[in-house]
Amino acid sequence: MPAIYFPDVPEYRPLIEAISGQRGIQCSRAGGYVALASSGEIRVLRADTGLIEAVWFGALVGGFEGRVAKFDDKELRIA
Amino acid sequence: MNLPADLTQSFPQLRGVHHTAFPTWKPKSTVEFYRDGLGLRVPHAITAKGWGRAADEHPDFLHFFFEAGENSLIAFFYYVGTQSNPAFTAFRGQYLGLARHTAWAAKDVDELERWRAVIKRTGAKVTPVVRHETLASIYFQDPNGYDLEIACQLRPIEEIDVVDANLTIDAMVETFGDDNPDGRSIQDMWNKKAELVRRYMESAKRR
Repeated sequence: MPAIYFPDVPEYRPLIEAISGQRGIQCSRAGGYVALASSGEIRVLRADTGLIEAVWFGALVGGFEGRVAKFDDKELRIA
Repeated sequence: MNLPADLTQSFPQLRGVHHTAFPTWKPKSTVEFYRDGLGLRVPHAITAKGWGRAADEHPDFLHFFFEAGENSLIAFFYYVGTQSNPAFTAFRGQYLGLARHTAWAAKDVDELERWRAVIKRTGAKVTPVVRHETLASIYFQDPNGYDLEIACQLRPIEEIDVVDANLTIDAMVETFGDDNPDGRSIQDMWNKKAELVRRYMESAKRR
């Protein structure tokens, strides 16, 4: 089951919000982290986050479970 | 997280950067850039007859300093009569060269913008202000080709930032060791990081 972890800080909140608002995403919080898990692929479009590249390409800082299916300047998919 | 085993151990304290130093073969351009262009005061300059062991064939040299604020300095060595060595200066355009740079601190984004205007006036190219995570930065090069940055903190560092940074470097060390003998990828590291974060979250829930 793919999951992405984020430190709950302002820089990553656009990502957290863009993913947690999707259907089928389970969100849990503890110790200043947010875990976002899904039974299917996790997909987020950079356009939905408004992030500049310098932050977008650091999106996986908190780590993830699964594998990177796609990670370019437009889209991140964790399968 | 691997905190030092003995938390009572006391370390001496570092008190910021005194100076960093670089070789230059362009003393004129260097002075024009740092002193005249950026307005940095010159508090100290050494002129010396070559010394050192005979095997070193140490050239005569000048060692001169520019003030970079909060008691820190940037310094240069000019070795008289030596050939310029591009291995030291000509890194430009390469990510490996960019990795080794000097970053000075500014107060805020307004101050970064003021520095941007000053740097442009010297004729050097300077990037727009880049906001990345907790920092904003501008990047430029001195006449030697050395990469410089001026950065300001966009928000204070919180406990979670420190926790996360330490979990990241733990994941890095566990994944790559030295010289990455198992040829692991950054995906391997992110998977390891997730494991460490999950464990951290579980222990936070129990607290």
